[in-house]
Amino acid sequence: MKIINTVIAIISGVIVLLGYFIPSPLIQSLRQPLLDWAVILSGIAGLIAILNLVFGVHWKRLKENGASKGFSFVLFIAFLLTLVAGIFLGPSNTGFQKLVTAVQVPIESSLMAVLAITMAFSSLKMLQRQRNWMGFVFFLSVVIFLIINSGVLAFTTDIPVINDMLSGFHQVPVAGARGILLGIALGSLATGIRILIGSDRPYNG
Amino acid sequence: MTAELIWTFVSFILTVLVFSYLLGDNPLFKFVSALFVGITAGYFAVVIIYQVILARLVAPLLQGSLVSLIPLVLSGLLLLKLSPRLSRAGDTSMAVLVGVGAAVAVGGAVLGTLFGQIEGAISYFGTRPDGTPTTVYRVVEGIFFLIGTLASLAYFHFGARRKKLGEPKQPVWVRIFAWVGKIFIAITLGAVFAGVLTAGMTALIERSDFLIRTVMSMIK
Amino acid sequence: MTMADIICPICNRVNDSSAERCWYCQAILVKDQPTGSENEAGKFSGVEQAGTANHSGPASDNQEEEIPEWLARIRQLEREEREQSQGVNPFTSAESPADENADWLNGFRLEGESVSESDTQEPEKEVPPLSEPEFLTCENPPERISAKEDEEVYDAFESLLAELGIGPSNQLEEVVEPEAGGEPVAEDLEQVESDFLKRLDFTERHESEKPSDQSNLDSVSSEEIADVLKKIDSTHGYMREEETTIPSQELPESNLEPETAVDFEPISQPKPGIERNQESEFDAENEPEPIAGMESASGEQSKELPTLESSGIIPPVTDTPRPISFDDDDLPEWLSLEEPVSAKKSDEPKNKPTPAVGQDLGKLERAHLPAWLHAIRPVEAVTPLQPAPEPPAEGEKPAEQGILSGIEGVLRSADLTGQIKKPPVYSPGIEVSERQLQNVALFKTLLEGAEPVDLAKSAQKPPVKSSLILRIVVTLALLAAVLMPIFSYTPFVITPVLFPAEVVNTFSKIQNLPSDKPVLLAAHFEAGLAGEMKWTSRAVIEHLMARNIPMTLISTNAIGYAILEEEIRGISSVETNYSVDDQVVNLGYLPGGTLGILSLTRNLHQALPYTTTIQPAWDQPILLGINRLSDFGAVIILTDNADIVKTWVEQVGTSADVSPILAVLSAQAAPMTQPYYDSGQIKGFVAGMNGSQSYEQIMQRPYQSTLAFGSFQSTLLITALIIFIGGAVSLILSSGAGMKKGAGK
Repeated sequence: MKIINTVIAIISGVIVLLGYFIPSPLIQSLRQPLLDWAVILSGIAGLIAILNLVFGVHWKRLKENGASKGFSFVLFIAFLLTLVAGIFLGPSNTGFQKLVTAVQVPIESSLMAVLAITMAFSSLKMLQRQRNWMGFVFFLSVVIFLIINSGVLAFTTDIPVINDMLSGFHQVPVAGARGILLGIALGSLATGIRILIGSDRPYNG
Repeated sequence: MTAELIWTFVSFILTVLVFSYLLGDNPLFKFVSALFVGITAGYFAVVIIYQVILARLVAPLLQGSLVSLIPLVLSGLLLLKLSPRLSRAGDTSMAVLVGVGAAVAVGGAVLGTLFGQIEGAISYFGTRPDGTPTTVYRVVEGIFFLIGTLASLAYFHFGARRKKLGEPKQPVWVRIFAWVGKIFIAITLGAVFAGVLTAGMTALIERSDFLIRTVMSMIK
Repeated sequence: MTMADIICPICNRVNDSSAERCWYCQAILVKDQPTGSENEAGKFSGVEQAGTANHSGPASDNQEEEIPEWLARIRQLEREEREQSQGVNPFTSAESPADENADWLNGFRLEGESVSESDTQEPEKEVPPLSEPEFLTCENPPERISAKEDEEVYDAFESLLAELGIGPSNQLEEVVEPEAGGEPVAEDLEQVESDFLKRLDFTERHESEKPSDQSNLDSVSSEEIADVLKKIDSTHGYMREEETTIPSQELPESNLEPETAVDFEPISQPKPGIERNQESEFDAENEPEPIAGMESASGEQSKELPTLESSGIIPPVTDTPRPISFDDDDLPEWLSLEEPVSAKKSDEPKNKPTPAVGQDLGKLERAHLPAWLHAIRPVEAVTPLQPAPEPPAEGEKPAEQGILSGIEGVLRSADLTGQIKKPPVYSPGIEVSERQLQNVALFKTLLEGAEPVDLAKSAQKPPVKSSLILRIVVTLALLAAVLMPIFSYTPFVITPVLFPAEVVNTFSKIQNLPSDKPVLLAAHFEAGLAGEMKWTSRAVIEHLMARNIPMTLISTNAIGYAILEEEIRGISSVETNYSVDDQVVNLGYLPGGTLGILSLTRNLHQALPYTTTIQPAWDQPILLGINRLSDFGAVIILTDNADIVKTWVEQVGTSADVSPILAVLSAQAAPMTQPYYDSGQIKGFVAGMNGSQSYEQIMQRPYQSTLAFGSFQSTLLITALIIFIGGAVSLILSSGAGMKKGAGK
């Protein structure tokens, strides 16, 4: 069975990859259904993740005797109520969408705000942990780009040297980001090819 | 309007409960966190049911498309992953997903990022996209970006040759190049961290603004 | 042997002068015992005679007269060994003294003929399968006796077999190995007896046969065996010295009983040289263990049997040699089985002739050990001499080794001696390969410069109060930076004058879009940054609405489209000219991430067939005529993650005819999106409040970004100040600590 799965993965991957380079109608006709099926399967995978979270983790926690049993109960009840409401009302219902806009957004935004304060507090001790040249460069870069992002250096537009320096410094991350993106692309390429040749089989259990 | 007011009040309460974390971890914060996770999970499940299962699996079958049986079977097998005993049955569906995903990643990386970014790196030395010829300043800028790009790539090169006596070491020029790349990467990551802080502060400002407006509207 | 060495009175072997007990038979040695004594000369005279019979020429005789008797004896032994190796069986010699044949085993031995010919020629005769007492086993086949004695033995044997109901078996013949150049077997009688003896012999047993045959072997009771041997012994008067000298290594200790000293018949006959050699060889390799309960017979020769007697297996020797008693209580369990012996085996003809005794005696070499002892030798048990042979299939030759050797139809046991390997010796050190060393060196270079973390210090928790105070101070400072500009009537704001190029390009692209072509808005942001995305995208959406451009909403995450739709509805309440229901179609969630985006580029209708209200999407008025992604006026990506921009660029931007890609980003996604704008793969982007404020300035419509820009600037400046102060303090403190350390040194 493992060999069959490997063959299926390789064949489906090769067909999709060939579709990038060969505009053959035959390959496109084979490619499109595979893409559609993969889209559906990825959605089902998301559903499996949710079911595992609710029933695999929190439902088990409810059965056991633990300190966090109450919060698992709250989670389970919230999930059930939202699911029932959504099935009856539908995702396009304005009232149902309020669950997102009036509950999820405030909570997550507030969490992000609290995170920002925590990050600022943690950044106080940045140089305590990374006391080396690279840590110092990072520290300087953070400070400078915070100042640049704030826009207070707009007064320097009339000063050509400083303006050029700042605009030049603003472009420096492009080089580093390009290098990082190329590195990520090469890594993705290597990992993808390993899967397409059957060397890596993450799907076999 | 009443519903709007109720939802606004709910948002206000939830925001305050989350901000209580600034005073320390407390049960109210944990309650809000559990509520958030439950609602998110339920919402996501509803969206999947409507947008994926009903729209892409059930509807084509009702329309008479027999080809839709294949993704239906594959989805059923994938659902067996929830069971520890039967999880092996879902390996075939995972194989399709992983194979197609790998191919998409490879194709996109080659055609999108590799070709595009290499073209972008050398575009400084040729005619601009708008057709105007390049300038010396642009060429110098291009050299600077090219050195930065190659140095950043060299930083991620960890191969080294082991000499007869001593530890394995990289060639001197690779080490120098990697050190330069380290500087570029440090600056880039500093800019990214500054961006994260900026986004967080924006969220703080937006939440604070919401609280103030809500309070103001309640007062009025 | 030196003149000071002592000769054992029991076994007549040479022992060291300092020894108190005989090395071989553990008899007590008397110090004043003659060493190169006349007794020895008397004892060995027979051997000499036998030995000299093989000598050639009178010169050798003269030499024997001159040389001491003990030397003659040694030479005789050597001669006999040589003859044995050449295939001459000294025991078949007519000149062999009667004393040599005094051994009770002689009754079972045949004279004259080779083993190999006897194996091939002699018909099979019935021999009772007997269990094999350990002390009777010897590596070498039994000695030959005279033909006359053989006949008598054979008659007695036959009668016994008839009483026992035991018939001849094939196993004996099959066990016996043919010898090259051996002596021919004289008679069937001799062959039968040799076969029977062979059965008793554990020499080089191969794989065992079926257990049923084994049970036949063991089926004879020990009492029956004892009776058989008693009769034979009484007939021939065998010597007892052999029994006494066999070490009792495997005798069970439970059978050790203190036996009374019994007069032992003085040994008047020289021992057969081969037997002596065999014993010496045997004893040299396996030191006989002293038997508990053995009493010393001081000052007397051969008064008791030290090993076998004390163990109780053999009764004390009287003046007349007594047959060996096989008492069940004394015997090991495997000897005392009482299963009946099948009589049918006697009818089976012999398949292989049994070797002659003389030929078997040719095997009596110094180095030979009993098979059972050979098998348990510790040296060979751990070092395989040869690979384990493959077990033969059923119906093939019978087992050739093991305790069931020579028996047909038994299961073959695996020879584990060849499979046992020397246990691996593990060195206490760690074996590190070259590659591992390289990796270690690489890690070392990577970690160079990193300050080692002092775990002890890091494990210590800082004082709670100072940390909490600092946390409160930072929080208050930030909140003050946020709130003060809001509540201040004259907020301190530095409005940017120059707009970023990417913002300007975005504005110009949207400004130049055809108003009849819808724009695809693809959202992918989390609820946490929904506030920033709302503020950042407000100006762009307002611009689209101002130009009355239709919008199609999708999201590659579950909540994006809902937040975006709510935002658009909120903005449309301000822009009264724009009807959301007519101009906006929400296609909902596109699952699959990268896969979904690619399917969108290949087959737009199939990728998103329905709207969020489960209506056919591509029948909507604004989407009529839209068949491909390039039919849209532009693709505007609203995201807080640079990877989403990368995905869209990789999957959509590579097409030949592609709509312009624009982006509305969170501030955190801007640095990694810049290269794509720089390479022209996206035409423009608006990032964060900074970008949206610039866009609002260009549009000359102050929205939330402009209104909250003061808070934005002050908050960022305060954050930068906090980080700078923290870093500076850390540097000052660390440099002060470093100076203190240097001063301390």
